[in-house]
Amino acid sequence: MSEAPNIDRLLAEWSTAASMTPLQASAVRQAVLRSKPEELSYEWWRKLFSGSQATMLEMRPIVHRAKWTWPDAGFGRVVGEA
Amino acid sequence: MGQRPCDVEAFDALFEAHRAPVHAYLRGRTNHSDQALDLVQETFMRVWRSLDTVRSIPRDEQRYYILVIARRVLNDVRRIERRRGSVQSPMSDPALEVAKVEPLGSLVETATVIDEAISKLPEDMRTALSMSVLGGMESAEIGKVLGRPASTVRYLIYEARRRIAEEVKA
Repeated sequence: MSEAPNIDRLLAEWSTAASMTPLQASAVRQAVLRSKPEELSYEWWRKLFSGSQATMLEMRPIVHRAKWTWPDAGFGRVVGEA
Repeated sequence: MGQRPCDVEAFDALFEAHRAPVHAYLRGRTNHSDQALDLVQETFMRVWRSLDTVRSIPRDEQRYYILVIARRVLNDVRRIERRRGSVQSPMSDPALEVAKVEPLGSLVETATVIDEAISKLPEDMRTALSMSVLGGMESAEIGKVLGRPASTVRYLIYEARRRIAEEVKA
């Protein structure tokens, strides 16, 4: 008979992975305070990551947004090289 | 809109107090982490633009007001998506493939298994669970947002946990 899964533990682990990270929250907050998406320059996004310890998992949604905003900027390539 | 320091301070307080519940709501509704983040941004963009109105609302009602904005944002996006007839999934973007293989250990493995189980839940059940687990909200609070009695929310969360346990055991 298989052991019953510890749902509390599993959901706690899921919550840790699924919650907004501090970096993502900071990016969202800063983007809102800029208020106009067109003012969020490619350079601005690049600076946001420079010197950060962000993992690719944290960067992914932000990269996604940047790619939509500047489809030809090669943002994914730059981050991939970082 | 010109930014006054007191506005930024007020916005920061609202953002910190409500970002987790708003994210949890949108994560549950969309079942998509990237889209949820985009919608959190759009929701707080609207909060920022109507900051004076939000601030005039009693503190204990602000969360519900912001969650109503989140629901409207989501409805707007869904309406646009329906009009377009299809939705481009950011997951299908090859430039982002590298992120999927980032080794982050067993935490991500567990999260992926649970994520799959959660994604199979009906939307209301998934949203109630997400708001409880990610948003740290009580059943009564969730019920007020979802328009359901607290007892129904408790049942939805119980049933969600039961189904996830079944899925994980299988």
